[in-house]
Amino acid sequence: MVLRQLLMGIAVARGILPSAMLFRKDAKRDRFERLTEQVFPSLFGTALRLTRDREDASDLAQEAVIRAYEAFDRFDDRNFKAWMLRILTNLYINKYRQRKRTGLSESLDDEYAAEPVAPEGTTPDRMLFDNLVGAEVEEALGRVPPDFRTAVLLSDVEGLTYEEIAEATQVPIGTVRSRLARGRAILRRELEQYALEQGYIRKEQSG
Amino acid sequence: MKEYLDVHAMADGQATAEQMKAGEAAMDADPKLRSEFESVVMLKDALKTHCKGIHCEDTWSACQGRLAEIEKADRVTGFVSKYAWQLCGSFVMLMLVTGLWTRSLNHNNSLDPSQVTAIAGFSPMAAGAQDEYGFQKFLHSFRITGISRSSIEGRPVYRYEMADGRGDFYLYVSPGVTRLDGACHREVQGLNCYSWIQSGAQFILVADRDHADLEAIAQRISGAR
Repeated sequence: MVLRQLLMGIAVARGILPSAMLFRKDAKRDRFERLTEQVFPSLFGTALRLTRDREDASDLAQEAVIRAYEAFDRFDDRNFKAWMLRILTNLYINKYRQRKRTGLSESLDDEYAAEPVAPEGTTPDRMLFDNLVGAEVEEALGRVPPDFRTAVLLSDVEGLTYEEIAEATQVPIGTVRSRLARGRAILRRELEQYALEQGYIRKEQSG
Repeated sequence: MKEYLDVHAMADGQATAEQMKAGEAAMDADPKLRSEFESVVMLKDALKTHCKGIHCEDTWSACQGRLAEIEKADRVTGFVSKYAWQLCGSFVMLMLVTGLWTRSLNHNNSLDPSQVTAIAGFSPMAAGAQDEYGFQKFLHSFRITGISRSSIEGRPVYRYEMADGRGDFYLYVSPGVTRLDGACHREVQGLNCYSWIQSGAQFILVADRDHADLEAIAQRISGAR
């Protein structure tokens, strides 16, 4: 075995074999890259919506991929996307959020602080949502405070379960539920405000 | 307010069958809950429709590059840690072999001046005789008073008894030497000596003179053609 490796090394050094043969992708990296490539748009999209900065999103996504590769032996072969998003969200919370922590959301986490998404006497939902375009939704989502935005993103955009969101954000499921309800209520308000400004709906319709 | 959270769980598909049943009943009884449910479903639809994954080729390429670097480092680390003993053994062997080779090379080559001056059995050569290697062509500017021959470890050694205006001196020549280790200036048996390599042979000058004198004679010999 040692002899074989040494001969391979000599063969590469003398140009007999291309270095790609000695340094070819191993099975672990090959499998990891194939899986990651499939979920990378989700990963980068989430990173961008969390950080709201392309450079930070790129750094966050890269770091998450590297962390995931280093921990790939511990992946349980269930939901790769959820596993990757959990690593990315953990990183975001522990590293990026700490830099920009505003302290806004913590006091609102209480399960009973939830408010209805559809307040009384407001715009009929169909009229509001039918007129929206992607940029407006992204803009409104960006105005939702980070902890609530994280929960809404992981649930409604990426389709993670409450349990997976709880693991990703390191909070109890009850907190996930309340953050979701609260986040959606804030988002709807933001969208309604946007629709009013753009003239999609009138003042009396919004109550 | 808890009913609202249950309605969200129903819209998210996270409610158990039992919770679904209770939720349906609650929505039938309270139109506000029904409205909340529909609103959540539509908001989820809007997010799903408008917030797609974002492809970023640059970041993906950077990730691939970093993964390749990590894999290469892992391979090298793995190889070194797996074969550490073999590698160490190889280095030790290499050092031993190199040491032995160098030692044997030195042993075969240069002579210590004390070795040649200690040889008692030099046989005088007939007057006008030439050595087999033609070293005498370097000595034409000196007066040669005698030539004798001996051997050391199977190799021939010639001794030229020579003289110039300042007196007598000896020159020992041993062919088959290509490298000289150590200092050129030495003192042997109370006499100064000077050693150098020329034309594949080791030349050793021995005389009761200072080193500068010996070096000057050596330069005359090595400059002679």
